[in-house]
Amino acid sequence: MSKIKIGLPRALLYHRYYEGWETFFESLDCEIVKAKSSTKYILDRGVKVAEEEACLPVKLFLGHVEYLKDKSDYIFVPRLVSVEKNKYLCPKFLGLPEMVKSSITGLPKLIDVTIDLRDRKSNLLKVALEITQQLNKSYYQSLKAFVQGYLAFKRSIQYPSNRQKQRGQYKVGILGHEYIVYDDYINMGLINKLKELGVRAVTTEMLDKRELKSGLSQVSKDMFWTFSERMLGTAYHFFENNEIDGIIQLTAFGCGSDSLVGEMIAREARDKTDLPFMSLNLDEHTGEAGLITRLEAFIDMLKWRDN
Amino acid sequence: MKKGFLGIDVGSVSTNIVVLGTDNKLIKKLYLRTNGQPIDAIQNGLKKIEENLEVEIMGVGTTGSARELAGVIVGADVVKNEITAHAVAGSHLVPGVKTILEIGGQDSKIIILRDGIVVDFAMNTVCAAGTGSFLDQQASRLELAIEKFGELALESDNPVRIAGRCSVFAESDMIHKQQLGHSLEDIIAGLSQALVRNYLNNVGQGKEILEPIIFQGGVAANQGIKAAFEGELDTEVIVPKYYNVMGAFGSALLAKEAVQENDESNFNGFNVSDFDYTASSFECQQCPNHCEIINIHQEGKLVARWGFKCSKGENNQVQSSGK
Repeated sequence: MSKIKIGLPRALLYHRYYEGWETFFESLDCEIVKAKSSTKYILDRGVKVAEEEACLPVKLFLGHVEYLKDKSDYIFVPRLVSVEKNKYLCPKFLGLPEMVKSSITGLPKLIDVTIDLRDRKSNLLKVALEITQQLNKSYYQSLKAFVQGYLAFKRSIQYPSNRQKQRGQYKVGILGHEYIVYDDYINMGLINKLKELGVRAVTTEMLDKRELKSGLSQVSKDMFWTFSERMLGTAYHFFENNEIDGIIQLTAFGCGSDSLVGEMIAREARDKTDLPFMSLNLDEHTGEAGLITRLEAFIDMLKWRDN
Repeated sequence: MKKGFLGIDVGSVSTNIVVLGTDNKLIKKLYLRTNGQPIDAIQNGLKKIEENLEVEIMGVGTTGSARELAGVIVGADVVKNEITAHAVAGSHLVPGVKTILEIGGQDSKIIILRDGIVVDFAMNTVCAAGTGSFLDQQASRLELAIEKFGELALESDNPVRIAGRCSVFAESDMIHKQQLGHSLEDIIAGLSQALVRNYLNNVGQGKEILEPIIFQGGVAANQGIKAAFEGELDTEVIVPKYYNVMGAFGSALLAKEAVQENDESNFNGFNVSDFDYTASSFECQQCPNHCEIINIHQEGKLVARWGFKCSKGENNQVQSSGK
């Protein structure tokens, strides 16, 4: 019997959880199907099927689903409500399965389980069992896959091996959602361009627990959204860290939480720090030339200060 | 023979070239329309600037949106983005400047400096309302010489309110006001104010605009816009002497600096204006990214190419056919 093919759209929270998700499905003896990276073709497909007001990351997600729909038996589109106590995720994650179903025709079956850990973390196990039931796997197999997947995820956030710190003369803090910062297509190779310019990028994921915690402790009010709060905490950490030479904020066009938290961070940056700060808004029409011009000017600014 | 440095700024609307002496004094300047033909503009510009020029070129710098292209053709010692080039020139010509307002053909920028150092900047993103191209377009619609635009605005006593958020709406608003019978002067003055408001709300949003303020770029020739800036900011705005070639000026200063570090210039000489340069483009089909690749040929020989997202372009693995 051939393995069940599970399509994993390489977008949105894939970038945070893929190590866990992939290990989980592989332990269930499934085959993972995914695009090698986001491409123009994928984004174009997404833009075409997406509802007009969807944000850029959702458009990209839909493009990935389009790409996978003829290649997989199931596509994993979880409904992520909450991943920590008393906090939520952005509404787009709450309605993602509906968004996919209403935008795309000819879909294979979706694994659209609801992940809601607002009350208790152990709900995650129930979700895992639900998935394995849908895939006709045994209870024992599912427990094993759950444990392995969970451990893989924990390892990935503890030792972000694929998020290697790079070398460089300058250190620039990057603020932005993981699905923008780690998608080279959507951010137009920003991290690599920085590297070419002799700059080392520092992201939220590279901070250790203590650093993030000290940043988060300065957030004056509950942020409701897990990832926006992390971003804000990171920003506060950057403001105070004297190893950082500058901060670049990446926001996505149409992103609701960015329009709020992004603006808040930009204002706080003006008040709380003298560090060079630049905000870049990305959308499907963003020209690379403009991005490069700004990046180069930003790096020149850092060098200028240095001399 | 005197020694000097060449600065070339190839923008969307104009191509500017300056020659600076080793004392940083301007020897010659040139402002040309790019007319969508950057290669021709660079070659013509070089030819013109060379006429009767008794200067030995010790270094050359390029900037502007076609800086890479220009850099390949002339053999630049430094290829710099226009934000840095403008900042360098601004702070050189007006020492102590704290704010640079720059409006060019298709982009506008604001550069904030403190103690001679750039501390913040912004550039227009999605909207070109209020840049030179739009003013050009409106001038030709009204059958006015663009040079007259600013003078006319100054003659207005009662500027009308024009929507400046978007150039398309600004145009319909202007037409509407014309049809109502408002005078041309008032409409143009109103447009100038609208553009300045748009600039300050967009590019200038959240920026600390302190004196001394300089206004440069092609649009700084427009007295009406300058007056509108002064009205809105309630302070004096300085238009530097070489306001329309500041990018090129900065780039020549940067060239001087680069050559001091490198000791030797890469300048290909003025005879590059005699070579035949052609640019071609194709969409690479090697992966689904379909990068748009530009090839630059000198006398039929490939001398440069860019546009790749991957490293395939660097070792010329991909043929122009894209296969």
